[in-house]
Amino acid sequence: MTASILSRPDWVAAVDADPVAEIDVSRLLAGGGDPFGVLTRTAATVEAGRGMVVVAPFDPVPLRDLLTGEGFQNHVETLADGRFRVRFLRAGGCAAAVAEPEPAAEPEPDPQAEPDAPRKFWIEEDGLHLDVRGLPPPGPMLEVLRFLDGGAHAQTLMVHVPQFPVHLIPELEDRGWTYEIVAEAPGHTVLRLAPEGL
Amino acid sequence: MSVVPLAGAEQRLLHPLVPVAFFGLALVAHLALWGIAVLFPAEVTAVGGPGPGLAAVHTLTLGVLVTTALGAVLQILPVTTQQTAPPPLLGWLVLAAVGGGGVLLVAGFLGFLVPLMVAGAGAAVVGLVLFAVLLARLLLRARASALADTLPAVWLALVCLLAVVVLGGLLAHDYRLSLLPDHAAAAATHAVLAAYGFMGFLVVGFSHVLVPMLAVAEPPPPGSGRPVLALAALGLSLAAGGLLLAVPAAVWAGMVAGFVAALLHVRLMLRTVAKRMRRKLGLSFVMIRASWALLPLSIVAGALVYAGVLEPEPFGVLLLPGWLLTLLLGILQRILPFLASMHTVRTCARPMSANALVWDVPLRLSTVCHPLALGLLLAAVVLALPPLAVAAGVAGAAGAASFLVYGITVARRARRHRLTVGPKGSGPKAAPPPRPLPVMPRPSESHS
Repeated sequence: MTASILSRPDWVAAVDADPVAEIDVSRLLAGGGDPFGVLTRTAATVEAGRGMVVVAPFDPVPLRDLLTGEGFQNHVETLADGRFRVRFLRAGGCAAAVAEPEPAAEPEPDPQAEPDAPRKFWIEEDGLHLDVRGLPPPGPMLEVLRFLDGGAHAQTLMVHVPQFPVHLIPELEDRGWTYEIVAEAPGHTVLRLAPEGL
Repeated sequence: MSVVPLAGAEQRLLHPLVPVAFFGLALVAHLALWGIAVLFPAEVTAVGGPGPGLAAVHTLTLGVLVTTALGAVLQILPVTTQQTAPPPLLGWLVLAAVGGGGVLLVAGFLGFLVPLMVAGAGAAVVGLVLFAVLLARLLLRARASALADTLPAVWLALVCLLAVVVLGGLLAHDYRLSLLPDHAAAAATHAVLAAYGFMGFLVVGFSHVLVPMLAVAEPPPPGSGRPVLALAALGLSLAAGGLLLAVPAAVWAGMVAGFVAALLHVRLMLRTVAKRMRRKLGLSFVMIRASWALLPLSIVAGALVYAGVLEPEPFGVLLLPGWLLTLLLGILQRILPFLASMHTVRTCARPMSANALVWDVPLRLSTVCHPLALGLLLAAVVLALPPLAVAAGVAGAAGAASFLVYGITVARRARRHRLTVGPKGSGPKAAPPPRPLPVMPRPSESHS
C-alpha cells in the first residue's frame, strides 16, 4: 500500500525541489543496465539532509528495505500512469528539522514484525545480500524469485536460505541464473546467484 | 502466507531404496496393466469377475495407484509435517504385503483361482492395515502442523482405506463362503470408496502441497479446501451408504455433492496455478490439467451409469486410467527428479539440479501414448470393439515403457552424479559455515 499525497511528509517537497539525482528505472532497464547497482551507488553519494527521487514501473520494496537500513527515509506515491515515484531522504545533519515526519506519515506498526528481526537486504563487499530464512516454505523460494523477476537487479546476489533450495534451482536455471554454494551450516545455507555469463 | 513445509526435506527422507521400490513396482505394474489389455482385449472391456478384467482393474488400483500412493505418503507426509520418516523395515513390510498380495490377487483373478484370490487379498489387507497404523501414527504426531487442508483430508482417506480393506476382504472370501447378501452392491461400494474415498481424499489433501510446489505458486489460503472436504465426505458417505443399502435417493444426493466438491477442488487448483511463478509448466501439467477435467467427467459418467443410460465400462475408464492414472503420471514425472535431487543434497559432495536429472524424450512419448491409449480404450468399451482395446494396450504399454525408462534414467543419473562428484564431505573444499548475521531492525513496508 503506498501513501497518498495527503499523507506526504514535509521533507518530500524539499527533496523534489533539489534532489541529488532523479532516476528513471524504466530507462535503465531498457538500456540493459543494472538498476539496483546504479541506485545503491547513487544513494551512497547522498549526504545527510538531502535526498533522491526514483521513478519505477514497480514498487521497489527491496531498495526501500535496503536504504532504510542505510539511514534513509522513504515515501512512495503511485503516479497516474501506474508507475511509482519514491523519494528517499538521508536523515541527519541540518535536514533533521526538515526530515521530521508528520504524525500522519509515521509507519504503522507491523504486528508480525519482530523488534529484533534480521534485515532482509543489505550490501557487503561481495554484493547485495538477501536473507529469506524464517519465512514459512515456500516463502523463501517465492521471495527470491519475486526479487529476480522484478528485473531491477542484474548483478551477483548472495541469498541466505534455511537449507539448499532444491525446488528453487530449476527456476533459477530457467531464468538464466547460475548458483554456487558459498557456505553451509544446519539451518543456514548461503548461495551466490549470478546471471549467466557474469 | 500458508505453509507448505517442504523445507528441511533431506533430513526426513526415507532410505532412497524404499520409494524407489514402491515407485518401481508401480511403474512395472503400469506396464503389466496394458499388457493384460493386449492379451485379453475382450475381457478388459467388460465389467465383472473374477477374470482378466478384474485382474486389469486390480493391477491398476492395487499395483499402480495404491503402491504409488503408499510410497508417496510415507515419503511426503514426514517431510511436510517435519517428522522423522518411518523405519525402512516397516516400509519394506508394507511393500512386500501389498505388492506380493497384489500379485497373488491378480494371478487369482487371471486364473479363476479362489485360493490365490483369498491369499492375495489377505496379504494386501495385512499390508494396508500396517500402512494405516503407520499413517495414523504420522497423523497423530502431525497434529500441530499448519496443514489445515491436507491433514483432515488424509484422515478421511485413512477412514476410507479401512472401509475399503474390510469390504475387499469380505468380497474375496465371498467367492467361497457367500458372506455378502449382495456381492455386486458391495463391490460397487468398495470401488467408490477406494477411488473417490481413499485415493480421492489423498489427491485433494496433497494437492494443497504438491500443486503449489510443482507450479511454484503461493499455496491456497489455509482452510480454503474445507468446503471441498466437507462436501466430498458428505457425498461419499451418502453414495457409499446408498449403494450398500440400496437407497437411490442417497446415491443421487451423494453424486451431486461429490460433483460440486470436484468442481470446487478443480477451481481452487486452477486459481493456484494461475498465480504461479514457474514460467514453463511443462508436460507434467498437461497431464495434471487433463486429470482435472476427467474428475468431474467421471462423476457425470457414474451418474449416467446409475441412471441406466450408460454402461459401467466407460465410467471405469474415465475414473481409473482416466482421472487417477493421468494425475499420477503428471505428478510422478515431476516428483521423481525432485526426490532424487533431494537425495543428492543429502549424499553427494555437490547437489544435482532436478532439471539435469530429466530426460525429456521418454516423457514426451509417455505424454502422447497415455492419452492415446485412454482414448482408444474408451472407444473400445463404448463401441464394444476388442481390437481397439488391443491398440489401446499397445499404445499404453509404449507409454508405460517410456515412463519406466524415464524413472530408470532419473535414478541412473543421480547415481552417476554421486560417482562423479563423490559422497558428501568429500568435495575439493567443504563450504565453511556462514558467519552469524547482524541483527537490525526490519523496515516498514510503506514508508519510514
